[in-house]
Amino acid sequence: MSDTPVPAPASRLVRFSIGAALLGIGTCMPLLIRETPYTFVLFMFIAQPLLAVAFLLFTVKVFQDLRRGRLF
Amino acid sequence: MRIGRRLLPALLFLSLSVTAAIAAGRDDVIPRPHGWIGTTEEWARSLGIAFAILDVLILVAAYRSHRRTGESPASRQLLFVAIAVLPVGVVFFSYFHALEASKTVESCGACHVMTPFVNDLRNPKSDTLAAVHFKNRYIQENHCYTCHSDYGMFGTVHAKWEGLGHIYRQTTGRFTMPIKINNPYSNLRCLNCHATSQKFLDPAKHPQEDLPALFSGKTSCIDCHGPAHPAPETRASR
Repeated sequence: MSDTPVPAPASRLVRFSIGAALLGIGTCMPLLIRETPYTFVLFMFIAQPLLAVAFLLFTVKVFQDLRRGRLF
Repeated sequence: MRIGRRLLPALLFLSLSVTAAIAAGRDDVIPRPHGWIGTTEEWARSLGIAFAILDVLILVAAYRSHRRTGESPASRQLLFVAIAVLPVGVVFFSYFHALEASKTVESCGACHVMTPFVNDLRNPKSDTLAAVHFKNRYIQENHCYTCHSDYGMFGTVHAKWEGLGHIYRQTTGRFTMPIKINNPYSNLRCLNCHATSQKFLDPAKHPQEDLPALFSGKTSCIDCHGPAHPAPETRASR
């Protein structure tokens, strides 16, 4: 039997978290490129909630792994 | 540690390139002094873009690594940086940039409803109070914001809060034409600059007995010095 740990399969939570973070960052970019009222609305009401959701999903995943004892 | 050693040079390179690109795109009339490296706002903006690009690259790398090999400590570290660390930088610099850029005349003029007001500022024939201040550079920059925000920290907070309301109404179309100023215009905004000027203190122009009414706001500066902006019926033609 080998001692090398077998990596866990990628979870749906992590994929959603990555997706939300990508969308969140993507919606921040128009504001950084050109500030208009519309890009500001996009940043305030779409980008920030998406980034918060990404962080929340990632935190849930970290706690799940901690409970199963396979974080490190 | 290894991630940090790779991230920092990448971040520095990206922010320098973006700052250089932004500085190259400026159409300044006045030449900048020797050794000019950009404004704080330009640096904040380029750092925000650098953080965002780096974050997207790391997220894509983490996603690919996840698909190929599943979850591993290295991919978790990458994800932690990309989801919990870098977005904080992106949001911070986005706010910094947005709060500064939203003070400019261009930002106020970005809504169609404001176009006649901004056109009037630049109209060489206009003699409205706002146009006179703008064309003579009585106010150096952020002309709309300077006259339409109260002074002090809470003046800024109040102006930003009202600005958010303007953005909401513009985006949802909840406003009626012609637009009107939300609250009566406070004399204190004029007096903050004019109250100690010789022209204002000249009794021939502002008699001593009139000053209490001006300071208390019973008499509006605009009553004698208006109109501040073009009248609703002439806005379309300006």
